[in-house]
Amino acid sequence: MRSELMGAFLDEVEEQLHQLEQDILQLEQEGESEQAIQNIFRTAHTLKGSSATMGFEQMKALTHEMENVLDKIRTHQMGISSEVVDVLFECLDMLGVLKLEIERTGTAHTHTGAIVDKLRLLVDRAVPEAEKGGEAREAADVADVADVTDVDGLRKQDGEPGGEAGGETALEPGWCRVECRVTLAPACEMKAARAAVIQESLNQHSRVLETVPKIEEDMLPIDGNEVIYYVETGLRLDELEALLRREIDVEHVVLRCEDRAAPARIPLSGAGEPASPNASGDGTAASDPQGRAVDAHRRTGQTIRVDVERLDNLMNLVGELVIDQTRIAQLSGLLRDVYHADEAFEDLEQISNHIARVISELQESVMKTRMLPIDRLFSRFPRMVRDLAQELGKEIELIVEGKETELDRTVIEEIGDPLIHLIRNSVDHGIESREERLAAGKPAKGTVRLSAMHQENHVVITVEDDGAGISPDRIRASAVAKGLITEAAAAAMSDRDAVQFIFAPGLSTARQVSEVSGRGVGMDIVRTHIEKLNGLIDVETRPGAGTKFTIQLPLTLAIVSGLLIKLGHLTYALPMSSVVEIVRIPNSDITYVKGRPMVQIREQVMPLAWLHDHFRIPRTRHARRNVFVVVVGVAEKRLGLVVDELMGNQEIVVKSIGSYVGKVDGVSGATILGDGSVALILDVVGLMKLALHEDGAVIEEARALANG
Amino acid sequence: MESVVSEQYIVVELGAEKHALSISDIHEIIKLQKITEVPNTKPFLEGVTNLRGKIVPIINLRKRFGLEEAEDTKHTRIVVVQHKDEMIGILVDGVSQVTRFHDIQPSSDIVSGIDGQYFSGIGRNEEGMISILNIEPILTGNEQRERQ
Repeated sequence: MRSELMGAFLDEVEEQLHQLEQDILQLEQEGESEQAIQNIFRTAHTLKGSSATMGFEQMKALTHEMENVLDKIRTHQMGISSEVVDVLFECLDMLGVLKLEIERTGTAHTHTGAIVDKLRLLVDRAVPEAEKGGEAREAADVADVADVTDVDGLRKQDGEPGGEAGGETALEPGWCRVECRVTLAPACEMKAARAAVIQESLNQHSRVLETVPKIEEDMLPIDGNEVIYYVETGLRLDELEALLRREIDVEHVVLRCEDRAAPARIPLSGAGEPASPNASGDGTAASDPQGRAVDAHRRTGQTIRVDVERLDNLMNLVGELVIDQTRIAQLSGLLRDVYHADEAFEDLEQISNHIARVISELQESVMKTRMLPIDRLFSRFPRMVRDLAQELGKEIELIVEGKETELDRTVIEEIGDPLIHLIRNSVDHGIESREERLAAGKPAKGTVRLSAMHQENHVVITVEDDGAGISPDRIRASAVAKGLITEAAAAAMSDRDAVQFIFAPGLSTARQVSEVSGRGVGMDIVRTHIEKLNGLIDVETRPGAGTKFTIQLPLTLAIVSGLLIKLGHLTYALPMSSVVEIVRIPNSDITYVKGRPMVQIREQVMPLAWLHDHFRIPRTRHARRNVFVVVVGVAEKRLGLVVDELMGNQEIVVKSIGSYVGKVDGVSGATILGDGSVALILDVVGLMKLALHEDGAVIEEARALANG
Repeated sequence: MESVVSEQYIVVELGAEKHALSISDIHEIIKLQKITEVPNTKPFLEGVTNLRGKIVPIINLRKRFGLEEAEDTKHTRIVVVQHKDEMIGILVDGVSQVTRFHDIQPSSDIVSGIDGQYFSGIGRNEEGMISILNIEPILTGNEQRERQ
């Protein structure tokens, strides 16, 4: 139980820190954003509450000090300076450190003294300022009250939940006071914490004026199971009740409208008036940021947390169904010849078809439950770019587009590092210094644009900067210097092809080359990573105008479209995403260059590979004059695979061959075929490497066989 | 000693030899089914098979012990054991019976010409003496470095 609680606590902290980061960033960008301050305050408060409950003093003390500072800000006793923002960021980092420590060791000992001092200093300095700015503050408060679109109870002198001051405030149009009697489940542990959580969530859309019993900051245990919240809300009673019922451990809810005179809700026709965005359902509020925030709240209210393991398990089960369905379809094909006249068989076939449809929908639905908006990942970058830009003394704006694009969580997890790398590169090497930019007639502020969007069965992510671009000539020079290509080849190469060399391993690791080319280390690692996900990466660059990286990724890794082929009597699957084309070529078209079998298909010369040799399967001697060649491609590289038989394509469920077998060269996993047998899934990237390192003996043998 | 004596063992056949496997090691025993070869891995890895939707590696005990290979018969069985978090199948010529031992002696360095590290002891009962297989070294043994 204890560890479960700890898990829930850590999850919550993680989420809150994430939120905190976004809000601090917003604060920095937009200056005095009341919404952001309010959010940060609320988050700090929640953290304080939960860390106190769990007994993590350090975290509680730190968030308490943060609260003090934020309180000064939101009551206009203190302005927002870059110093304040920096300190807040420091707090955020410290909280992250504490969280990590708690996660690893169960306690936190890191000293927070230095940062607490900084926070106190801010508060101390704010006092005289507040005295002289007293009048202005009052004015601001009045202005606040007039601003009826504000939802967050900012104008309560004391926004502390449970504070009394709000009771005197006039009700907003359409709002009413409601007494909410909430009965908690007797089994609920730490009722005080739960009650505080409910209060927090009420404060998201309404105002809690008072509670009985009082919910104290120090989370004293409360007696009994019932908590009464006195709330001002713009929600309808049934909406409020539904929201409360959605809270964990809530057993019973009784609502009573105290202020019957006020209309319980603004009528829909009044949407044009300055209505509270909380008068939900009219949709007109969606255009302003607050409306969106409320929208988001409402949506989170309708979601549940599910353990990832359960989803994975569900996906596995669906995988089983997909396999069985394929088997049924195959059997039904076989039986048709025998029983085609039988009515019962016709029924059976219909049912089989129906099941196939249901399963494919089920597969899609389950896949969707595993999808997350890429925002999970993208939201990490503004902070990173900010810090990096500050460090480098550059002015950089990060524009993020399409953050709502959804893709499989495993893909999101895997794509993080490569993206960090690309963005760092853009900031570090892509964008020029301020002076250089001004000299080149560009705006001083550089732009990095990060975007994601869906394109058919793929997600396309781009990282684009308006920096100096990559000079193809420099790449050519360094590729020649590294001995990757000859001078003549380099000269004959198109600019586009030359730029692709930034992905070559030899080129990017050498230090002086990275200085010359202006692109950082490890682009080959980025590419390997993306190719492992069955993805593709491409680069476009215009010297002086900028560079754009385009990454194409599959939506999911669990079920992919595969091409089934046979080598000898064994069946293998190739991911369709890497199959370029399938051709039948006469044996006579195979030529040998330095002992390596090559073939020319549509103007492109590529090496041919008999995987038989690698997999120790005897090569099939064909009487026929033609061979089937499956052309596979990774980026610009092409390889022709000689196969004995093509068996068509189908959805395959990707399974791991487990750690006991371990890594097998040229194999990325396994799948289960319609007949229940296992087929290995070929790893095209690995095969390319194998084909390029094939030793001479094999090639000689290949020549002898092909000629024979 | 009572607990050791009461423990049950499954007797597996490998050519003329018989070996015993503790029943607590065994997850299940299945008939021979289609095994897909996996190239370039452990020499005694027969391949992988589909056990109710899971990919299960199968090792060949004959190859593991350096015995000559035998044809599959209708008696050939796969004994599935749990190893770490994975299930692993062991291909044997047959499974004959369940037995208990009166007492268990430590095994010598060489048992029937096979490396003694693969055995945890020699069990004795009315029918004679049977060597008891030690699963861990059989699965990993010298191949330690190949594991992740």
